[in-house]
Amino acid sequence: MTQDASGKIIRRRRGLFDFLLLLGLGYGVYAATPIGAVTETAIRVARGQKDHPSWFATFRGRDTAAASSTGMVATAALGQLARGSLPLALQKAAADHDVDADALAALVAVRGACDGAACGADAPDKLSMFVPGANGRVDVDILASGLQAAKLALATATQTTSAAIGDELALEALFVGTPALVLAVEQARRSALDGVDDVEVHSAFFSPGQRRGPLQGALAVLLVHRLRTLAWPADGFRISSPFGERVHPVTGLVRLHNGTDIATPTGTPLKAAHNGIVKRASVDSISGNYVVLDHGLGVQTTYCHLSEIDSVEKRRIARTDIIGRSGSTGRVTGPHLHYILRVNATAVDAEQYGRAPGNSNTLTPPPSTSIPPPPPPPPVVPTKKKSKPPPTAPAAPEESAPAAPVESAPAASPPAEVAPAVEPATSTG
Amino acid sequence: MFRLFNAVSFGLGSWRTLIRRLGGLALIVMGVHAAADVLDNLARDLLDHLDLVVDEGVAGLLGWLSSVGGLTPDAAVASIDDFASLVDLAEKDWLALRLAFATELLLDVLLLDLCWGSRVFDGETLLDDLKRSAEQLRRSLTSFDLERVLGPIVLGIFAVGGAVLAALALEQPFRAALATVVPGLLVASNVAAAAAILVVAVLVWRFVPELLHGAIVRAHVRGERARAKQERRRAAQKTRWPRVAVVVDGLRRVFRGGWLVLALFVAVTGLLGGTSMEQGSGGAGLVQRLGATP
Repeated sequence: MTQDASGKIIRRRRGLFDFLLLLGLGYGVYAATPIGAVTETAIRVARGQKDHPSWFATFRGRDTAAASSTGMVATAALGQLARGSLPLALQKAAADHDVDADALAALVAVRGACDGAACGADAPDKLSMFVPGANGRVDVDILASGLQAAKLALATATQTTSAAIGDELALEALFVGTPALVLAVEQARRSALDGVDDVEVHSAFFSPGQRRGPLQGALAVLLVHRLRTLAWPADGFRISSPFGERVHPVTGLVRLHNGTDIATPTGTPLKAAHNGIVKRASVDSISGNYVVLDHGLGVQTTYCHLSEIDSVEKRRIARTDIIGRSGSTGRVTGPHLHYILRVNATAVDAEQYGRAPGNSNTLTPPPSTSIPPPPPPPPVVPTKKKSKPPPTAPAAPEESAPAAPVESAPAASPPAEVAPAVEPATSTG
Repeated sequence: MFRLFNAVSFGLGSWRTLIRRLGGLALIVMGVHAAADVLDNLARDLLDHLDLVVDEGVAGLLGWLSSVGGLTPDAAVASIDDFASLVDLAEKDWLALRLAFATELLLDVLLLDLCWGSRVFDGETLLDDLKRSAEQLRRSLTSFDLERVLGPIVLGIFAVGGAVLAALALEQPFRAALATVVPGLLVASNVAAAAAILVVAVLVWRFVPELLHGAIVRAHVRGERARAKQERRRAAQKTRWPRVAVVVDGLRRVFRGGWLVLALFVAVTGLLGGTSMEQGSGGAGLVQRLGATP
């Protein structure tokens, strides 16, 4: 206690501890609540900047790349390699170095291009760690050897074999380096987290500098790789109604069909397209029983009209795990699966990506050595766009066609699943 | 060095009331967000069920119209489908998120006014301060309405939720760091959970009593202000049934702050439903983590 000039006794109190706690809480408010994003938006608007952070990124499960340039770069790059066979130079490099061609293709799609025999990309930040002197624009062969060396380095650091190292981890190592990656994965493992190899899980253990810098470059590549390696939910069944504009089977109106209808009979087991978390398992009047899987990096898949849901919300699932069985719940004309793929909240044509039947996204020899011209960007599904049908609007022919086996069904699909006899079915949603 | 530390600490001490008030506000904002995060999922479930009920209701009505000849069967089916397609899965997702976000901002603004009460700090000793505080509280708790009862409770729950959110943010890296020096993951996990509970306790101890004191005083001030306003209005207006008017005014005073019932529901749901900073485990509370086997 002290006395002031008038002799009055003043109690002196300490405030440093409270102040430090307040600083921590202030950072928490800024980083973990929408108040931070709203404040940052206000500051950027005042400065005349147009881009701003997402206000919803701090909500659980909403931290996708919806507004980030990463997602846009990745989806634009994916267009180059969505359909069609991979260039010969890329396939040869992958085979020579025993690495995954999809991983190599993702690198080239985002950071480079293939023009005839010349196929290359800008070197990832830490490529020189694996291939000394590899900087600037490098050939696809050097990228492949870097990928191979990254797998080997990760295998050595984690005392396992390079076959056990996932392609996404190896890709990530090219951007953030082995020591930081191994440390982050190890910390995630020690925290008893599921899916420690997934970038969304272990990236929390990177330093802020790594997250803002090299990791951003890796995310676009990883997103393209993830989309290229999506599994098809039900192999061997014909597509009764593809994604895109169509005449609605019930209303007769022309509208966009936001998913792909696969003619699966009731009870067909449905596989998860990729590793992820069950975001929703619920029921809807149109979609019937449905499951939404969040695969991270802004990729989500939805499975509608299920007869049975075999997954629990918030539970982590692995690629090709059974998430439910197809059926005819909701507004349908027969049993089928309505499969929706969303990238950064926009519904896209699932047949264009991953291991969709008819998508020659495989290692078959291509007709030419160059990447085919990019297809038009995936159409955006308007939320309530409706238009009157043309006067001579025909009935959708595919609705009445009997189910037939998919001609280009993947070789891996079991013969028993091919040519199921199902009644014509489609989603009215 | 020690003198510099003392100077800084005592210098900040003269701002301690403001610091603690701001700390309390930060806890409220974080707690409200943790609750809104849970509300997002609840809203989505609610919208799913509401949509289902409304769609089935409309389908039943149009089906009946079709059966009595008011509508052709084709038109009925087309209308049913058209109506059911108005809101699809993505739109419900969109709507639920915005609903949760709007609720969060609204609660932040409404609660901000409630926690800005005053506390007297001019005693010569800590005991003096406590006596004055007790007197202030005694005066504030002379009459009751919903706002005076629920306001401090709601603020307290949100503040604890905020403290839990802050503690969880520290728990995970602490557990990972601890696991490098402690042999068993179970030990590291439990020590980290215990440390997180300690953080919650420290945050609550430093910021919440001040916050609740302010809330009680503020609720009293707002209540008295509302009563005076009501009396002025009653004096200015002539009514045919004065006794009925008195009863109505009394009820309005008692149920003032009825919105806090909803806020209480959100607060409790948020505290029990987990926080947004958890990774992987999904939904377990801090207390549940203590003693859990990884």
